[in-house]
Amino acid sequence: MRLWQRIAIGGVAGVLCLTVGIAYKRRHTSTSPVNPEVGAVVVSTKTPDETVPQKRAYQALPSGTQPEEIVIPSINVDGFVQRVGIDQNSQVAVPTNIHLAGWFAQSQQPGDKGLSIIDGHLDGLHTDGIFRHLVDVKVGDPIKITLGDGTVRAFTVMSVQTVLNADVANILFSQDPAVVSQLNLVTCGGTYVKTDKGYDSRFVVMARLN
Amino acid sequence: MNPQSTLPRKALNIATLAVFLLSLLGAPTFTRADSDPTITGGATLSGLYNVALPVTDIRINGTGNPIVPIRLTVGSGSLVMTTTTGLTFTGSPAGSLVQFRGTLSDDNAALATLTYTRGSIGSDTLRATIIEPGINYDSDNGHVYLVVSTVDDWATAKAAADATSFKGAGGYLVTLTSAAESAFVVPLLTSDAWMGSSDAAVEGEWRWVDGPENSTQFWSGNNSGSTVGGQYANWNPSEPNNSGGNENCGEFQYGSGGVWNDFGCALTQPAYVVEYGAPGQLPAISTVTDSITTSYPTKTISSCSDLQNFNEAADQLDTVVLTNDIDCTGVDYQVPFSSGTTYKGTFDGAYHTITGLTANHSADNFVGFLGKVQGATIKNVTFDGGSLTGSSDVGIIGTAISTVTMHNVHTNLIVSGSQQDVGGLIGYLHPTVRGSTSVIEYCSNTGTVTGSVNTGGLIGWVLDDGGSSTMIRKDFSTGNISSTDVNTGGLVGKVSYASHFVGLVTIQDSYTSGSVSSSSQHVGGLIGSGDTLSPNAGLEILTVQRSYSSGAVRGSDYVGGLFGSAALDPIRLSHFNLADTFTTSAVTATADSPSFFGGVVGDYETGAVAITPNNNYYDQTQTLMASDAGGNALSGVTAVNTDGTDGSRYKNNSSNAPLNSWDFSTIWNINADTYPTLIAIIPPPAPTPTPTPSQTPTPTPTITPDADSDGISTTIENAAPNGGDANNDGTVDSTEANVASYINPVTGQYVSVQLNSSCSISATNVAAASEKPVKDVAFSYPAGLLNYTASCGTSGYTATVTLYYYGVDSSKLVARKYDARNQSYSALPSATISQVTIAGQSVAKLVYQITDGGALDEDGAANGVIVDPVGLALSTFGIPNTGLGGSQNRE
Repeated sequence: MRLWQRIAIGGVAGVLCLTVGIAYKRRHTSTSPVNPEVGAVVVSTKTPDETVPQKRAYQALPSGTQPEEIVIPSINVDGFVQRVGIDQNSQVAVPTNIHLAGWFAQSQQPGDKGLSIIDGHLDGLHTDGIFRHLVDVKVGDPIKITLGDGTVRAFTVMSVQTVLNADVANILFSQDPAVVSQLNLVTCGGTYVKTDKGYDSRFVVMARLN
Repeated sequence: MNPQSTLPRKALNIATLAVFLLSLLGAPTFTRADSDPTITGGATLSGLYNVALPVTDIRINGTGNPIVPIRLTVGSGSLVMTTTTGLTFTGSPAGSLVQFRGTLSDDNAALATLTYTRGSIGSDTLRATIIEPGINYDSDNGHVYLVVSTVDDWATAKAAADATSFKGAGGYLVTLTSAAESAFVVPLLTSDAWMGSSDAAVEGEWRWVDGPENSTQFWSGNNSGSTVGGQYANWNPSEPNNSGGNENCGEFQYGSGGVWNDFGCALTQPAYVVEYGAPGQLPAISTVTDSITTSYPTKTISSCSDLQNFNEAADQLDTVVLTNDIDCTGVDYQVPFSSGTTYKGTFDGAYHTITGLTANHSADNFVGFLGKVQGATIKNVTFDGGSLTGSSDVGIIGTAISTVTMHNVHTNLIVSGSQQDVGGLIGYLHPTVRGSTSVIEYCSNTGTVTGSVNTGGLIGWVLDDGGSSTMIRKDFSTGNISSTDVNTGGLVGKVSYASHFVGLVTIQDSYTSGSVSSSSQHVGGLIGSGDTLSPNAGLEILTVQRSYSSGAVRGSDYVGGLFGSAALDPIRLSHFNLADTFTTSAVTATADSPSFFGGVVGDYETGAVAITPNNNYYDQTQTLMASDAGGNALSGVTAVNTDGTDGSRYKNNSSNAPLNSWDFSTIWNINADTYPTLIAIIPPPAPTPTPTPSQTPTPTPTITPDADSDGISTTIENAAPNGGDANNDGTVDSTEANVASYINPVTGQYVSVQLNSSCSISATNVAAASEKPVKDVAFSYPAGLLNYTASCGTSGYTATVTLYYYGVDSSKLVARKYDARNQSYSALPSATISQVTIAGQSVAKLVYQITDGGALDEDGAANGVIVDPVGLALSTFGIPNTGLGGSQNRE
């Protein structure tokens, strides 16, 4: 890993988080103590919410074609999807709750022609995140994305790999030339480096639309 | 209005810290320049595609030598400055967006070296603006937009926006008054955000409540309402819905493409958008535009040698013009564009004649004047004397893919093919682009055409494979057409459809008079056979109007004066329109027990076919046919000259039907002793005798502008760094077929492509990433995307590719490739990038391996040819931080 990359990664993990604002937006009055975030996240936080969202409290997205839910049966993942963008550190943002997955809104919609990216926490400060067991996914495992209008897009895993941080962007934003619609999932992997306060790798799952 | 730029007051404390920290990262802040320099330019420039065009009119004017930030943008091309001393760049120093700052003198010195390069033709606009990076300035309306990421309710956001100003223009919550303005603002969003709209005063009366449009109502009602007074609106289709009875303020929904939603004013949004600019109060920003047009180069040809040097790599898109008649007699013509590349330009014979064109390559496909064309135009040229001999796809044009235009092209060449798809003009016409049109007009063939499957006087086979239109009009063929297999026609051997879109083939105002004969089936005076190939075929329409045949037609089965067959198995044509035609062609059989012979058509399919013949005639005596069709009789067809006394009814006449519906003023000639001929045709030359086999071709004189045939001229390669050895292998690049060195139009510096010594590069170029139809979301390409085509002889060969980029710093770059098959980008596995020094210059070196037919080979076939676009990429943003260590944090 080159020096500039270490500095950048260390800076990402350790620099002051510019908490100019937290992008929560309450859409409706709810009796649930947790109203999962539905808006795009512009600020990444070092302290994401670790409370498990109540399923029925989750509000449908206003546009029916946005990804709403992700299910990976082989690793018992069944969670909701936030929209994420680019945060204040010019990184792909992460969901504000470790139990939610984040669809990178600058990528294609899952199932549309092109490449779709979804990220999710391996862990928070205290507990496991939605993609804790993503490393156990195998080639051939199914992945299902449900859109807001109920449409289900089904994928099949075609590759899994652990990638050092320096190579992640190049790998994560790669689409197989033979695949029309591809979904890439990413979470942390490798070893947690305390001095960097972050993991030295990412785990990337690539899946093709059935 | 505070004349100085200020930040929103409420968020000052946090924002001050944020701004301070952001400034450490080089983010922009609002600071007034010490002086008010202006920028001038506004030239209209033109140049060639893929050639760096100097843009030297842009200049900064001002007093003193202040720091001046500059933004240069173009729509389609790429900008580069070779002098950048003293400049600090934001983003890439080259490309479609170049942002830099330097002293006024350094800026001008750099601008004096500015060049524009575009890998395609067309018009473009270069905008040069004095503005800081990160300022969202819309040059169309002169306004500036700022997305403020702070959590506020609507009223607080409005107050904060109103308290700011930028370069003399007061701020306000954004008001979107057009789709164009929305298209500029929406991409700036990174979250949901407030805008300056509300219906708090009167429910359902949505008004802009800030800025110059203050109080203007733009919407009435809820989500089923409508715009007011022609105003612009972009609501989410289910909005506004006043959910809960208290949603009275407008917001952008970032994740839904920036559409509008009504939201609770007292609730918070993570951001708001400020707009600066109003009539008479625009931000004081100096900007200028240049208009730039690029075109293909024009190549002139004045000899047969020039014709032979029609370079597939360099001339693929060129406009080619003949300057005089050309004599190719005795030359063993080597067919250009007969291998991997198709000709896509315009060939203009300028009304000259090419004599003696002879290409005898009996074992080859794509034999003709040009082997393969795609979207090309061939016009105003006559081919007099000579011959074309090949296997399949033989004609003046061997194969025409996508679309083709042939205008005023005449041939009397002897054309023969042993396999299939042989035509006097085109062997195989294969339209593939939906909605496109191919036109063959004012063309003729007077030579003999001999083939096997699909043989025609003009075209061997027309296969509509995309839902397009093929127009064959004002053409004729008088040569004798013969074949040894099915589908033989005086004009077209076979017409087929394979698309589920609407496909049209139309023949108008055309005729044939030569004999058409085959030892096999489906033989017609105009068309041998017409059918549909696709089981999912949509609407196909074959139309023949105001045309005739008079030459003898002979075959074994399915033989007709105009058509051998139409709409037979396997699939039926949708529509078969036959109107205002006649035939006097004698229809005879080559077999002892012929079937399906008719004066007009051998046989056609009824049922699903909609056949609408109207006002058609066949000479019963001269066709030797008692009926118009061998199978089911056609309606709309009348037998004439039934007693043999009126055999000249269509000679020296324009009033006998169907001639009375033809145009004898601008299209047709009446002739005393012959059938009508076409007016607007330059008379073709008289046929010349067939060359005797004993003639020995004289050697073609060689001209070597590209000594190693790698598509790059010797002159350019010899000018490469390191004494013409840019890849530093000890051998001058202009002598190596596996090495190509040329100027990268994106960087303005040399790039060198090297493959294994057993490989030969046939074409290579660099294009800006902005010219690709799909953007690589996470990367930019400061050195462009490099394409090359190489043959390594052996199919399945694995080649090592080495690229040398002069003047490129590889320290932050990774290797990626673009694949046009699915318009995707991907990492180059196992690529290595390093920085080397060659002749004192720092050079980025990229090395990787590619296998013919493998994942990286864009032609997808193990055919001995490698096609590969690659580039050095710079990451646009970082990876997500998806792990916080969990319990490890507390260890």
